[in-house]
Amino acid sequence: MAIKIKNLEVKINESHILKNFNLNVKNGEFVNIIGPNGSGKTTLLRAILNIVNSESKKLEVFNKNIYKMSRKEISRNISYLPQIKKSFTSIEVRDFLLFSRFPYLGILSSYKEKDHEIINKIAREFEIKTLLNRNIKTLSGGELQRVLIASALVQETDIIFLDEPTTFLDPNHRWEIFNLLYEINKKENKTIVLVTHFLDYILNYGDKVVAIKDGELFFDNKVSYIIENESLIKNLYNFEIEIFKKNNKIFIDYPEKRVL
Amino acid sequence: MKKKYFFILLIILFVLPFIGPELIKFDSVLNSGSQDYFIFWNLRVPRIIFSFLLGGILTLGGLIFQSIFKNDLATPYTLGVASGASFGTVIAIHLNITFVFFIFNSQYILSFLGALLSVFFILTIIKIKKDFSISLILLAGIAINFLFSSLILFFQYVMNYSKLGSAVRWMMGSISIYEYRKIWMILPFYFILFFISYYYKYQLDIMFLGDELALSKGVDVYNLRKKLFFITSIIIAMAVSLSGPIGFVGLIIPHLLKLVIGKIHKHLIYGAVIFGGVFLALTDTIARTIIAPAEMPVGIITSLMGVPFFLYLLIRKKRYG
Repeated sequence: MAIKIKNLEVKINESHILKNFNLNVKNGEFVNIIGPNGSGKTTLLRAILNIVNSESKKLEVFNKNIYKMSRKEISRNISYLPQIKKSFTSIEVRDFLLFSRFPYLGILSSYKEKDHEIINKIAREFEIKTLLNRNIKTLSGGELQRVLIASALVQETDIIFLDEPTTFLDPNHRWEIFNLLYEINKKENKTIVLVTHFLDYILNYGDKVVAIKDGELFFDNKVSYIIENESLIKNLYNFEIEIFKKNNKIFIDYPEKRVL
Repeated sequence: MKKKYFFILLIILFVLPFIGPELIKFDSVLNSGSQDYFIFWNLRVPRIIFSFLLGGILTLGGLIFQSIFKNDLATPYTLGVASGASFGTVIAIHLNITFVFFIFNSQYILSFLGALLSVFFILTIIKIKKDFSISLILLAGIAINFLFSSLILFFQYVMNYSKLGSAVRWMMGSISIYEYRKIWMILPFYFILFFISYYYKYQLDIMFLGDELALSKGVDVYNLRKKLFFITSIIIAMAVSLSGPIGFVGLIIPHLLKLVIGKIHKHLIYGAVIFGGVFLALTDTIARTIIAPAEMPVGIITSLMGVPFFLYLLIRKKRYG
């Protein structure tokens, strides 16, 4: 089991963000996390990373208690791509990718030739070799997401967390990123936990869906089950949704939300 | 290319003690009977060494603060260390407190205590709020800065003129040093600061990405920020108590280095001690020469000389930030 969560509670400044949360993620699984804004999706990722204070009966990564792991040890198991602004820093892409090797750095030692080899190898596979000497600030939204996902692979973790990586992307690049994640999941057998609002993608190509509402687990099902029970999505977002099939593809319509 | 600059800076450093109101000839430096020998070895050399060390500390301190607070406008003084130290000095001058403890005289001790007081305030606020975020620490620091500034103004208002003169003069920052005592005082702090910035050089790179991303790369951001803030503040407090709050160096020199050698701390920390040190030694030499036999506070020269140079680099290099 990649991640085991039992009775997880997170309180921030007196407000109860996650309540009695239980979740298991199998090794190699691709988990889509959905839910209304402010329901606690990002907090769930942060709690698993032990970035926020939490309490639980069990919080484990590969059967090891997260609370007892050092920061570096957590970073050797999980890489996390938070929601970030485009101009979050201005350094060269190569230097940025090198930071992902930090969890493997011993005390008073420096980055080695091997670290650079890993970066070059992944840059080749990801077709970002031409970006390596560019400043991260000058990248387009699509290029930046590719670089960020590459950085997760440079970190060589078995689990990758992504928090809405496609928010600022056009439809073309959005699909490109989803396909890339799908590929990483299948080919490299990485466990992926993805927070996203992109229902079209999930219902067509997703597998496991975890829904959070008001800090509680709302449902944890296979996509096929959700398509047959569209009231699940309706109740999750509290508004009318129609799911229908056409030419073997799933489409979503929002009948109440039409203007005029 | 970089080695060339390094040697130029080194040569400047060796030439500086010969320069002053009166140029000292090389042969009199070896002639132990002459007056020039005394001036060279007992006044100028210690002063160059001291300003070199001080410039390194201020630049490294500024660099560390800019990185741990992810803020380009942070200086070693942003969080009230300098105004705390100034407050201590103003108290010492106003109340005529004079004693000597070990090798430290009362004015150093009071100004050091004042600086510690401001660090203590900030750590208390962090502890009460249980919050290590950048915005909280910066806001608390700025508030404490204002608190000490108004206390200083109050004491300046009630002081007599001769005391007021020496208090104002102290706050302009100047490197007055006689023989090697101050160097021994500051040297251990210099090495500690250099060692911790060397030790945490990769963490400092990553911290500039922001807390979330830095945590995900395995940097224990909150603890490290607290630790580095505390150690750096103590060392800056020591430096300020010995020389007054010399401005500009801790803010602009780190930026100047980033413009020239990039944002990787592995290179920046060497740049900081070498360039920051030579810069202050050079400006101090100008300060004690330009209106000889009087001496100008070095704080005036650092900004007057540094700002045009910095603006030139900023305009010439199109992409920065």
